[in-house]
Amino acid sequence: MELVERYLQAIGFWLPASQRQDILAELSEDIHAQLEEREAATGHPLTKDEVEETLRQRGAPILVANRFLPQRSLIGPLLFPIYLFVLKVVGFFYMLSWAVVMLCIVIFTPHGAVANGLDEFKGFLLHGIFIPIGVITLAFAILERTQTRTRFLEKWNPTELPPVVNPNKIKRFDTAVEAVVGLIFAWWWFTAALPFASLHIFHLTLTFAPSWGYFWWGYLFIALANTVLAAINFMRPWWTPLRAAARFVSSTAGSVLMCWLFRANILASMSAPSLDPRRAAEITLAFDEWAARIFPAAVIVCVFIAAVDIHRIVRVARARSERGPNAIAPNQARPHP
Amino acid sequence: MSYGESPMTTESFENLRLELRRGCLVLAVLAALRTEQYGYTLRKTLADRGLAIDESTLYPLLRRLEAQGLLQSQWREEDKRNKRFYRITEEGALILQQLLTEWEQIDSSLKAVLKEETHGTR
Repeated sequence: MELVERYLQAIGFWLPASQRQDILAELSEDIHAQLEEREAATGHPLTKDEVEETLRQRGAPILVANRFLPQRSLIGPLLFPIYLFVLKVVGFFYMLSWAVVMLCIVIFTPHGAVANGLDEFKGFLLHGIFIPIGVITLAFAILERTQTRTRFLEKWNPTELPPVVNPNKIKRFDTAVEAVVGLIFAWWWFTAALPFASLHIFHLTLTFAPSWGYFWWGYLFIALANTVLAAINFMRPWWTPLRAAARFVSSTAGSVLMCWLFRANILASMSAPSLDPRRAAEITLAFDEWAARIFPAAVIVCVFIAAVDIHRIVRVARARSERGPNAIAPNQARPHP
Repeated sequence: MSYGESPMTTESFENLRLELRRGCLVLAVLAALRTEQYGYTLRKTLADRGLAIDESTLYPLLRRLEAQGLLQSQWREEDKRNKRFYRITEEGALILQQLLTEWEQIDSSLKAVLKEETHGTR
């Protein structure tokens, strides 16, 4: 029966000291009773293998001991969804902030050193992620203990719940601002930044490359189109697939123009009475070089804008298909069930 | 596993079966301990009546019920061995009565629902 004693000792290791002897005494009695009954049934003293089989059927010591312990978890089922949500949000902003850092390395590091800079940075990125995860887990573990004692999550008020948000509804204030800003921009663009012209700022004269004409017309057209779209949205303040698609087209056109602008060596020359022509040429060259370097950042911003627009199209189309062909507009009141 | 049963179905059934049994076992243990018994005989009594329960479930359950004041226990020597005998307390008997009433209500409600379903599908 040495095997039984070893089994009990292994169970006892996981039990709280205050209850250990009591639980083990009872388990010991149960095991011995079972073994005796089996001996009586077989008609011979049990072999080592038979004892081993009996103990195996009872389960691993840690599992047996675990049944006697109170159920404990670092973060319980009540807080776990919140924990997961916070992890996702923090993970997103963590990755976003590091993406900005990575972009800065690409933009501001001399060309030859970019690879080294990124290699060093990858190490920080991989190790650094464990710090926020650890801090959040610790905070939630503490919160779990507090929740168990104070039940603070159970104290809530229905009237304090946030209002229902319909993402496909457009805020009139936003569209009004958009329309006014679009009009002001279009007017300024039309009068101050004429195509094929130089821009005069105090005594400084900036002369643009011939391709400036495309940008001028392009941005003027986009500004006017956005103003019209904002006016329509103001009158009918909910997204439709057509208007969401129109917004995507205008954003994409603006994005393409912007990316092209950064790569177009748009500043042809600059001059000022007090500026040495050679110095002016250096500044012009540096300006165009930096614009070209910012190009990757511009592409990322444009991809982000396109993703937001595509998400809106999908969301609107999905909402429409869920509501069916006889759907009422999302801003109209729905009858209460 | 019978024809058409996937491993997932079997697992789901097993989980639901355990869930269903969990509450019933408390009732069965309280009812069986209206007569004083020690752990091993209690386990055998329940197994003989079709409610097999393994020791790692039974003993923690007995402790929990005792901590709640529904059972009382006493170490005593029997057949030259120390055994812990359990018996239902007065409070436990009262709770058992209430639980049995609840059980009967659930049973009749379920039967009524099943009867409605049977009529509804005809």
